Amino acid sequence: MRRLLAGLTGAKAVVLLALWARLGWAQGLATAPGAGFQSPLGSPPGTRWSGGRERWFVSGRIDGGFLFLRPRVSVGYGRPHYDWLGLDVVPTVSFSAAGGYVGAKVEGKFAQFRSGILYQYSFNRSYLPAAPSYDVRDIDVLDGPRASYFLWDSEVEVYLPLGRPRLRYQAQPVFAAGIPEDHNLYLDNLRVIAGPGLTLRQRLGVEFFWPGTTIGITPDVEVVWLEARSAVVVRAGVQLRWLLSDEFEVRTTFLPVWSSPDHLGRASSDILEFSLRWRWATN
Amino acid sequence: MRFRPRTLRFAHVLAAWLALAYAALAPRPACAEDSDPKAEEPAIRLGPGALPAVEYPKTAVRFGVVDAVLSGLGASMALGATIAGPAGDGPHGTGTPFDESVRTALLPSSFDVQLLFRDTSDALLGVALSYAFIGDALIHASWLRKSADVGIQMALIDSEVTLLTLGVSQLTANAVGRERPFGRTCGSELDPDSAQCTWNDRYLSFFSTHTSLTFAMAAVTCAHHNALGLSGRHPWIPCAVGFTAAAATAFSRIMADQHYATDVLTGAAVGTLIGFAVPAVHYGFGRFRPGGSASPTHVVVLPTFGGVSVTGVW
Repeated sequence: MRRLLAGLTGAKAVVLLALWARLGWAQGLATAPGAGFQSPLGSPPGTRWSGGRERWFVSGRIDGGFLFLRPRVSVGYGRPHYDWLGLDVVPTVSFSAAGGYVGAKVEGKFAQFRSGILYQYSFNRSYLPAAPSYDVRDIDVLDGPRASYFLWDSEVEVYLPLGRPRLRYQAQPVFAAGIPEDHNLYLDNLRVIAGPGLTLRQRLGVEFFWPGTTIGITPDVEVVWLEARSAVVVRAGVQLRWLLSDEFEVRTTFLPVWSSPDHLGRASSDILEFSLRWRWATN
Repeated sequence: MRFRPRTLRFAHVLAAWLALAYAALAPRPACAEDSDPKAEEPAIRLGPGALPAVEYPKTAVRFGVVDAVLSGLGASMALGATIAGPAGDGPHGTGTPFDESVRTALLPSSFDVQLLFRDTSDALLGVALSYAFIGDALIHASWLRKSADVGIQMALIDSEVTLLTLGVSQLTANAVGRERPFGRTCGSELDPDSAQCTWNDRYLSFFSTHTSLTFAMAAVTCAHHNALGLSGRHPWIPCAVGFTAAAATAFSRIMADQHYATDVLTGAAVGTLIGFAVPAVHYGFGRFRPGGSASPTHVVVLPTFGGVSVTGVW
């Protein structure tokens, strides 16, 4: 398994991804349907960012919804939100934890890759003594020092055209540091209880746009492998995107847990979380 | 499963060649530069302007200074109450005999099922708020009907209703300081050090914010659709759906052991009152009913405690 993982994250994979991202035949794939209409909320989908010139820029993205706001600021060179190379900064503040992520990112027409360091400080959670299973009552107990941890957080996302639909594959290897021995920890970004070492999230989905609309539907299957616990969490469901313009997009995810050693309820699932995404960039 | 290094090398090389071959041979999708844009332009039926535009009634009151002050007041009440925290001498232990009988009848014995209902109530509240702001004001009015002015007014009225309901709810909950029904299990079924048992939230049972907000959103959505004719001749549909979801939220809060029956009944009444009263001030207490006036029949949707009644008149 380690050899397979090394193969995934090795130099050959990077070279392949770079080729993948830069090849001209990807042109047009990221262009969403509906490019022809005039949106009252900005530029038609798939026109503003893909059509600009390559330049140095600062860009941002905010996902807002019921009781959450997820901002992201990027600095880089290229065409923002489309085809660029640079740095990502993501502050993370919630009712239960605070921290942030800083990392490098390459985004192409066909693939994207990011890698960086994420720090989290929990307000109401401690490290969890090793156990085969947990429920939601276990993770919200402040018994001992407040949990704080660093993650080396990377993610590869690849798109493969299947005619009109496209296959989307994500792999997110995460290495946790700072977790005491014989202890586990609730990871806010992956929504799982993991131990020290590797946690690997992989997601496979097929995205297609409903004919005559700008509504994208993606049935997804997600598998999270918890190395320290020798366990797997499986989620499956659907993601919906409604492209209102190149700047505004409504998103919702219904990705419940189908198999897990734990019983965490919504703390481990995405259940009907609606958000409005707004994107911007300097000219 | 173990792989020999030679096998892995072979697999990588094969994958690389396959990827390159695919890149070279795969049919190239249309580019903006090499195709006729009109020929490639997809026909978007559910796009901007797909539905007829609507106008904010000229005689209706627009969101103004008074509304902004009321919204700020609601936000301040909610914030102030949260900072002050719940009263320490509120009712603790058990509820009224009515509350206890409803709890005994509805509460699932399994904690996992209770958790499912708690998550369901959270999801329903999220959907109710998202539908009002994102679904109705943004997508429906501003985008599909290209009526941004109406969308903005709807969103502002929704905000006023949300903040006022939140303010009244939080102020009351903190002033009363009633312990939630699950509080009696702290130290037995629940770890006394758990967040549920140690946080102030344990003493914010009366009245249910989830219930009041979902009923408020159902009412204000119902009022918008009635006054602006957003559902054509069937303005009762969003009302019925909204109040059904709100009633489901109320039941879920009891079945999650988060509230007593009297908490959700009061929440439903307060939410419905604010949700209808604020738009009524703007739209003129039912004078604008473009959706219903042309119809020979009328369907009246009225909220009842913990549910909704639908009455047909012809």
